[in-house]
Amino acid sequence: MIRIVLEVVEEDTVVYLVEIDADENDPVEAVAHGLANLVGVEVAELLEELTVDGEKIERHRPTHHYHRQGHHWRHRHRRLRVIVFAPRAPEPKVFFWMPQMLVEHAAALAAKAFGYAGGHPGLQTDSTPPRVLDNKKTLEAEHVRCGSKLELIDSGGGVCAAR
Amino acid sequence: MLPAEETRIVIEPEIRAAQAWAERHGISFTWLPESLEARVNLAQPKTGATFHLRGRFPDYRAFAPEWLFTDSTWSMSDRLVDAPEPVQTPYGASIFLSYKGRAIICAPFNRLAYACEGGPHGDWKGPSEWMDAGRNKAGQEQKIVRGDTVGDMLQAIYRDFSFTEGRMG
Repeated sequence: MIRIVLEVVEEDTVVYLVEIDADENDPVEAVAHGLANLVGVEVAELLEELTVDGEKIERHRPTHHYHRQGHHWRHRHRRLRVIVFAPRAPEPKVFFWMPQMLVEHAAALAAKAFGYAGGHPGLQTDSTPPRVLDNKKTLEAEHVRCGSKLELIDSGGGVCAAR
Repeated sequence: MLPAEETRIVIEPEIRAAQAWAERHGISFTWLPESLEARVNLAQPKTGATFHLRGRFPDYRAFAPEWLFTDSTWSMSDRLVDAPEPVQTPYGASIFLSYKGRAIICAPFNRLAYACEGGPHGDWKGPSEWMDAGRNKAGQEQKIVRGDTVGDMLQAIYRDFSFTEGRMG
């Protein structure tokens, strides 16, 4: 068994490390499954941006081919790291979302993670005053960046005027 | 009637989250555990005027809490002059309403919005079923604002409050 250490890189900065033990004769693809789970991305996405010492790691080669003592594997992720607050929780949660994800999808994922059931989740910025993101647009179209802080909101309307 | 101590235990984590929410938004939030009462000072963005929002939580969560705007001594109830003038929001109608001369925060999470408490909503079963209020006969959820915890309620109220301008009366 060998230990693989993976650096997750965001905008040229290592944001965190994950480690996994692997059979040195297993193909990279098998190890990538475990690493992708730890990082929270799709396997294909991980493999697309997986290197060691600047060399692209190929999925079908045995793992030992890329195992170099003291040298970490590196994944440059293309997701946005977004910090989401919710009114029902004192602490935020961190999500890694694709820039092309719709705001409403991201809001639904965040709502589920915070334990909301039902309702009409949306997201707003942490600016003053906050700006409510358009649920029908993508995160990148709504100018969400890596490290953006957002707040989960309910976008349901008032009721009385409809009565 | 629930023992107040039971309510205090149930609500405590929600209060911590609500305090964190208030800090993030620069809002003054005070919790009075003995009287199960929340006091929130809201500054109206368009005028700078301060409004005093009071929440009371007897029998929470078995029953919806009581939310209203009051005066600076936290003693008056339902006066139009203490409440913000509603403005249509991008989400639809404002949750603030003048009803029979009273200022009502019209949302399923407010006990005072129910007909049995003098509010407009006889179509919601009652404040003990506040978590299901606003669903249609098939059990499907209508697109009305929800607030299932204290922080969520504050967020919903503050969201619509941010669009208001002036006072109801």
